Amino acid sequence: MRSWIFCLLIVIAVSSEAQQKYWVFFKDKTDTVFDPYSYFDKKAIERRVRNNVPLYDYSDLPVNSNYIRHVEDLSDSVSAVSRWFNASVVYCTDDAIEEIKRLPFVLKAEPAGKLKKSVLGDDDDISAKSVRLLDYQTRVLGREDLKAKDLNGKGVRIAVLDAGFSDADENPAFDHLRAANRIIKTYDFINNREHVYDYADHGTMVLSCIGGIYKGKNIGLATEAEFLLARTEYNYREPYSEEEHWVEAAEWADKNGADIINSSLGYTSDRYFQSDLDGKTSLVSRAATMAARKGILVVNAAGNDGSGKWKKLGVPADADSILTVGGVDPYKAMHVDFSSYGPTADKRLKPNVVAPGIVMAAVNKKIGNTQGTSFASPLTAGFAACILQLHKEWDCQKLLHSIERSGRLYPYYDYAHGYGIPRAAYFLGDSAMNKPTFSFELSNDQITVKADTSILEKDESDLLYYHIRENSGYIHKYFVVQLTSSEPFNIDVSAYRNMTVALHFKGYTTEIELK
Amino acid sequence: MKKTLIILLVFLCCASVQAQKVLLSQDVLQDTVVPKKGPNRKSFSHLYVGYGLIFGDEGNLKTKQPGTSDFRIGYRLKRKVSESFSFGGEVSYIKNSFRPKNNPAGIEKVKFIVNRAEAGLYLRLNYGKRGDKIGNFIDIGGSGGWIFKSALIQTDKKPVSTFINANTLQTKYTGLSFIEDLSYSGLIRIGFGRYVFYGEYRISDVIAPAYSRDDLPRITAGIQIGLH
Repeated sequence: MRSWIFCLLIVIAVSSEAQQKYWVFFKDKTDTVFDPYSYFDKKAIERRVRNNVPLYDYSDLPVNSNYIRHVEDLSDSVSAVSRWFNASVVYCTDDAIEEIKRLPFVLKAEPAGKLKKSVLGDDDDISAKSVRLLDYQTRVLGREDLKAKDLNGKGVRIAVLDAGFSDADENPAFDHLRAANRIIKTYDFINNREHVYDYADHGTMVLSCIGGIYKGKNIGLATEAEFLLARTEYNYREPYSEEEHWVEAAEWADKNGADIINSSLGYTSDRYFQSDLDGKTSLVSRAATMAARKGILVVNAAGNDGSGKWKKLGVPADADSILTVGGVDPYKAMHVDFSSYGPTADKRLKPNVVAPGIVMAAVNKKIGNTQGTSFASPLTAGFAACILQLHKEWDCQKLLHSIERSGRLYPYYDYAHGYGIPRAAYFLGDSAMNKPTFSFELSNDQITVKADTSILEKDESDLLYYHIRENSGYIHKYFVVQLTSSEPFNIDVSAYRNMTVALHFKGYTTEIELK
Repeated sequence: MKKTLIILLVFLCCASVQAQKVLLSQDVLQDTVVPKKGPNRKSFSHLYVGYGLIFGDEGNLKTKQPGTSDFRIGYRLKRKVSESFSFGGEVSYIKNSFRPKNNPAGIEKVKFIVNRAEAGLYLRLNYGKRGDKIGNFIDIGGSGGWIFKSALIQTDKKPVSTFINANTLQTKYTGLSFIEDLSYSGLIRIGFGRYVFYGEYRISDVIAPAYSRDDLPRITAGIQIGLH
């Protein structure tokens, strides 16, 4: 009997120090090195290419070996390591896991086999489609080219004018900005105080598209830029005083050293007629032009009225000497329905360029899908900051015109796409030749276009752009056609005399004069 | 014939598969045509609906609330003169209901219904900067028309005698000879976009003076919503 009691006591003693299995999740993957070509099998690379899955993905980076070693020292053993979840599985006691949780690089620890749904859900709750979108929105602007040259907006100061920046002081997407004190100043021009982290999350999403980071992945490109945040907009009303606040904020940005102003704001039918979109009628457009004259690159959203009755861009997107940005579908690189059209009332080309208008952005302390030219504009502002970092000697007009020339459609343009999506490669020595990608023939008032069949991909990338314009450059009609086959495409030009037809297909532009 | 049709159908399907796909087509000159019609353009018209209460003291013909009300539906035209001035006209159907307080016959519920078809004119003063929007405004005007139908409805839930057993007896008198044929009023409106507060003073009598020195209340105040 005594021996049984003794054994029972031993069991109790041992069980109080029983080993349990835990998942230990780490906060980051800093100081890790990854080469997909040496890590992945050839077939794995083929599969990723086939599925448009990026080869460099945060989830594929190795777990930091120092983190594993520290955790191993405190635990009994490490039974598994996961790159995808940035975690390791350990056997340890309750006391040991408490010590592990206190390590600075540990995010959290949960008993293995009893994981709460949210443990895996919260950190990895964006779908594969959202992951692809998050990757695309900066990759299409040349993120990898910019990263290779360490271009991230460092030393460039960007003012963001918006309706509010709710939770931007807590959202993890801006941890890097807060840690380095790169939100230089904030001001609420409506309430005349410094606090802006309230009222609306629009500004938060916009800010993330300039320089936010989500789990090591870029949301925007200018992650090392400095920021001035200004609240100029009411959320639920549209008084004229918003334009006055815009002017005040632009002057404040000028005073505080802004190199770039991002304004994902616009005013349309409530206050103006389309005949007013001449860059001179509205106060705020004139202010935007003045800011440009003072050397600030103003980047403004074109507007989201493309599919509505107004259709055209708003103010101050019509301002002269500013970069107006329209929106494109993320995967087709084509005008997205809601993006407002140009030109201005005085026939100036707008938008100047386009960027993805359906994006992932930081909101409600997480990341989510959203859409609007409001987000195409800050993606471009971040891009501009990276280019300005490379060419500090450039004035804002040279920067603006260079960004236009980097557009994928340049020298072709139209009033939906401007010069197309800007390319970082243009600024980094890309000497891609403008080789002909199609041939054409003009006869009997008809232009017959024949694409080079060797480059036809028989998908949505086979887009022929063409416009018919007068000699002043003003476009009368423009089209985008998907060449679904290698059959020639005919354009009837019988109604046009003394005009020019411009055609663009896969990087090559040509023009035909109609006599 | 059937074979020919099938072959033709297959050919058409193939042809459409071969056709290039126009994804975007824009006519810029069409976009630049300045419209003549719009909330702040040369002319504009829209439907509206409104509901208000009628009140006032007209001697012995006192009425009670709720139940003494104004419902109207109309079509309004506007012609712009300048950013600040416009003028216009409207046609409307108006239904006025009156519930008398005094009920000498002891009937449980009595209601007068007066149906009017009216036309009106107004002057508008706009204030505040605006684009192609109705904006904020004050209207002053008048209207007149025809009382084309009237009725007196008595509802008794405890009828003294009926030729059948019934809980409710409703009696409707139409073609009331003591109701005037014509009506005319002065009006004022204060509008904020589609939402308009309106007031009307009925100048004409509803009950012919030959039948009664007193008349039904004349003042209406309510809200209209522009359907634009």
